[in-house]
Amino acid sequence: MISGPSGLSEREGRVGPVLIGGIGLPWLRDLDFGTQFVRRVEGLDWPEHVMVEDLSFAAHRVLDRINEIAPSRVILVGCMPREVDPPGTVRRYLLDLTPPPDQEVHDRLAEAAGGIIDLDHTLAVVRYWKGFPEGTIVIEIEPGDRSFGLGFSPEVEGAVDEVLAMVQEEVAKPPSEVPT
Amino acid sequence: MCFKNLPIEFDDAGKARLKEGVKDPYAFNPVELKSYARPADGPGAKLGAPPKLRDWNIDPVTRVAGSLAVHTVLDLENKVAVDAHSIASLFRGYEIILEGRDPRDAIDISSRACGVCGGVHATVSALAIEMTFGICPPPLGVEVRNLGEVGEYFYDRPLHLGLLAGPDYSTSLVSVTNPELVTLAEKTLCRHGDIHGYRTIKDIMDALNPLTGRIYLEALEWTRVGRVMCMIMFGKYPHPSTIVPGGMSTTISVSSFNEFYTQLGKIFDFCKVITRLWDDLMDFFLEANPEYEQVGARPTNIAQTGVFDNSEVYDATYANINEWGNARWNVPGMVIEGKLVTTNLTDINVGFEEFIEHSFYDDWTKGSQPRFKTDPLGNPLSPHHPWNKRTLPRPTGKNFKEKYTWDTAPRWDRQSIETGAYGSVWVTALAGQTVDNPFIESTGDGMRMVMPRHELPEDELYWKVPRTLNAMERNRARAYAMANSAAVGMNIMLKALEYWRRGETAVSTPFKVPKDERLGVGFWEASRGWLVHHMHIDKGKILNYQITTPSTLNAAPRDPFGTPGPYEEAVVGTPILESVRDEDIKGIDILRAIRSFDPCMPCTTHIDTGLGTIVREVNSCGCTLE
Repeated sequence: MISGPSGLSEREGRVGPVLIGGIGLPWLRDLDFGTQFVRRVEGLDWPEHVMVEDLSFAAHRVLDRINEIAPSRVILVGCMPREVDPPGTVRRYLLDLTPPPDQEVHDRLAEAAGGIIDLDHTLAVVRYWKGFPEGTIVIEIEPGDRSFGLGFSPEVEGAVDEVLAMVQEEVAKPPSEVPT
Repeated sequence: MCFKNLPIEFDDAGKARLKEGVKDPYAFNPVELKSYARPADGPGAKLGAPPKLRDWNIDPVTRVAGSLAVHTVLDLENKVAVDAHSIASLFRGYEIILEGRDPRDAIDISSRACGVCGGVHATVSALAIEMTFGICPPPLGVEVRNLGEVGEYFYDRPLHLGLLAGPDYSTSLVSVTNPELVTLAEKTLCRHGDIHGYRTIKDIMDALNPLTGRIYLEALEWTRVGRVMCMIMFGKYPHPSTIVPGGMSTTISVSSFNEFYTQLGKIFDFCKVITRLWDDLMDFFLEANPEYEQVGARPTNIAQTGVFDNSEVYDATYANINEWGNARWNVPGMVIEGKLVTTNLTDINVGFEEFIEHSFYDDWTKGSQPRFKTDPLGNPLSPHHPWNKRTLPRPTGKNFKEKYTWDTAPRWDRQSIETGAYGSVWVTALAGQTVDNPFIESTGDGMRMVMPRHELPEDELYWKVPRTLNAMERNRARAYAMANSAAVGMNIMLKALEYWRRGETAVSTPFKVPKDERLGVGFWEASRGWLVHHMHIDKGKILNYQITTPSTLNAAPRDPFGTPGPYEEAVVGTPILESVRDEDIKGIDILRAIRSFDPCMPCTTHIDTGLGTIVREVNSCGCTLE
């Protein structure tokens, strides 16, 4: 699922496209936000150096894929129930690339190996093996409806444009403005 | 005669029928379950009361699909597990989701039952649909499907041995539970060090250390090879979109086979190494302390449904199901008390029942007659058979004497049965009926496999059926099952190339969705064994769809006759062999027993000793649950 040719950009010695990746849990409504977001936006007119991909698979497979792509930047989009914000709240943060503790990575990797798709697993495993470039941004949304089915809750549906605007803003940043 | 509990006999033509004079052939009176009590005689009986028992709860942390918990009772005076309950603690409901849908939807929807085994669910669903629709793929379509499956197996099995079961035998863990074994391992030279490159057993144990060990890390890389193989044939993994009723929608060319073979060659070398490595490691433990033979031991009752169709024989019909089932590269079969009692899929089908006396479901047999009293060939069916089953969730009871799990209790001939990658080589070895080929020979008591030359020279492997079905032998046989699948893959690839050479390049066949009432069933195997989808359609819609998976069998609770499920049986009687104080016991032998099955539920399992929480993991993919 590649949007446009995977042109190259260069930033701080790392060559590769800007990767917009969605991580979602199929058929679990808001929890599938990452996947569905990617499907909605992959056809937009993205700059040539931007790749839009569904990364809804186990963490170590995402690591493989990111190593193959070798992106200069990564923008991850997903839904995570942190239960500290109201449904539909959008959180954007610069990922701290400090590797997590060994035990945490082992625990998460063992669960990922069993087929579990989980944004936090991906963040931990890919960070541990230094797969993410500096300036990796995570945009996550708080779910309102985690039941089986298609479509989003009104709160999450109402935040789609906000998430898209954030992604576009990140993509548009010149290398000098990319946070590290 | 393969049935000893069900009142089924066979006429002179080999057709099954109910024995005459049995008034209610499938009736039973559920026995009342009792809590564990130390026996009045036998080992430990004379020890002072009250016995030094400790409850151990293996407690789940779940994410999105399913989870496993195991409650155990340890007798610390006798150093043995004396009671166990296996608990699937989430309801999944794919059967309910599929009711009323277009039958073709079953492929994509059931594929999502599992994050590892999506391809096998899609495939077995396609098989069920093919039987239901009355269609059959062209020969190359069958072979391409087979090849994709070979790839899928190499996603799961290296992961299990390297990441899930392997760390239980690592230096980092064994040094805590049995430091004397680490010392011994340091002095013990590997018998096959010249092949796998590890000089001492401790070198192997070091390589199994989580995150840093070479075997652990390489397992991740091997799954990548498996995934590439799978994607060459299936287009996408883990949830292929190219598996369709009547074949494959993949675009295949000669380069597909060349690319596949490039990966398969690497797999041959991997199998030469991994089999010897697990031989050395398991032999070390069994020789260091023969009591390890009892870890995870249970009666040798194995159920396999067979996999890798012979494209010259497979016709997707129920009428010929025994013929094409027995022509599979890995044959179906039932091993009861170590003896292979049948390889016929009709026997496997009619002897299969699911019970819910200790599961969170209502009994669908009460107050109604079974929809089907026989299969399409006239063989008798139980009211508890999947074609007669209804999924009626009702989470009541919630104690070990009543109901304690979302898993059902599948039984064959009313006996507790397990399944696994190891079962596939076990059954095929006992069957002794391998198709004539240059790479595999089934000897009746073992299996000989030739791994062709790649970077390592050609090598011949031999796996002998072990005397005990236990944790160590499950792991060892899983390594050999990989070699078996690689050898099967080579045979299949040669066959596929032959079809290609002859110009028989079609991989799919057209079909229409029938509007009349029909039955179908898909028998296949996940990497972990048994995988069956039963289907009943009418007016172009699914009336009933029932999925039974490896972990439906393995994680089963007690049945109405009081017999524990396989995990439960394997845990009870497992000795506690840790050489530490009681308060420092980690329960590693219990976990080795459970993990040796390759449990398949998305869960993180914690052992609560009551003195603090020791975190260990059992991993899975979510296909246990309803």
